[in-house]
Amino acid sequence: MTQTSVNPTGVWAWIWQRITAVLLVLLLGAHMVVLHFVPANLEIQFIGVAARFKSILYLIIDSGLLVFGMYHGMNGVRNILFDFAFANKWRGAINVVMWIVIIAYSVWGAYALTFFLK
Amino acid sequence: MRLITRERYIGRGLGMWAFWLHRLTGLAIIFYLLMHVIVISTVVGGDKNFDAAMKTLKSPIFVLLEMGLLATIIIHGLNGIRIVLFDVGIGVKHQKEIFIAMMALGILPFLVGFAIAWPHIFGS
Repeated sequence: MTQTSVNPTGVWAWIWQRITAVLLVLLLGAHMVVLHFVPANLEIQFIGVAARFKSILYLIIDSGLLVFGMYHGMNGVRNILFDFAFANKWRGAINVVMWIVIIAYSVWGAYALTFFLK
Repeated sequence: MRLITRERYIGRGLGMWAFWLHRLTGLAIIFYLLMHVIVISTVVGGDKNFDAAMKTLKSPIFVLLEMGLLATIIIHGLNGIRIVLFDVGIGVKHQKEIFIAMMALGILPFLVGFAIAWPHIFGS
């Protein structure tokens, strides 16, 4: 893990990036197969999604995908930004914006998903 | 723009391409995810609102764009597995061969997805 010595985001961000990576490969794989490779699900309409959401498992998996995906993606953007010298004096602001985007999207997205429970 | 870790970007060879490809596909995917959440959340405005959005996305141009998304996700995911393998100490010496193997592995799921999407792009 020599990379962490030059990585300003720290070892925990590095570890979480890997944990979410593995979870995303598994969950996103399932997400895409279920939604786009199963013939019965190809026509996406509210009624069909709501029927799937009768099983609470879908709400849990989709919320998980949302949170893991937002973290993995925004932390990835941060990693790229931090490779550039101009970001040095903006690190604090970049961290704040990253967390605002992650939390705002996670809350809004999970809230939207509950509308499929009706 | 000046890079802090210049040697990480200005290398050469296949490993460098893999690195660039991972960053570019990653940016494309987070851009998609930000839009995806907005599109799905049209359901907050009601069932009809959601169904109208889904109908728009059924047009050939969007399905074609989804094929780009499928390829992008397959590349990022398989190369991501390669990176995690390196992190646990597996395969660094054979990083080039593993990159080629991973990309080869991605061809089949892409073709399956493309076959399913075909009638929605070009008509059945």
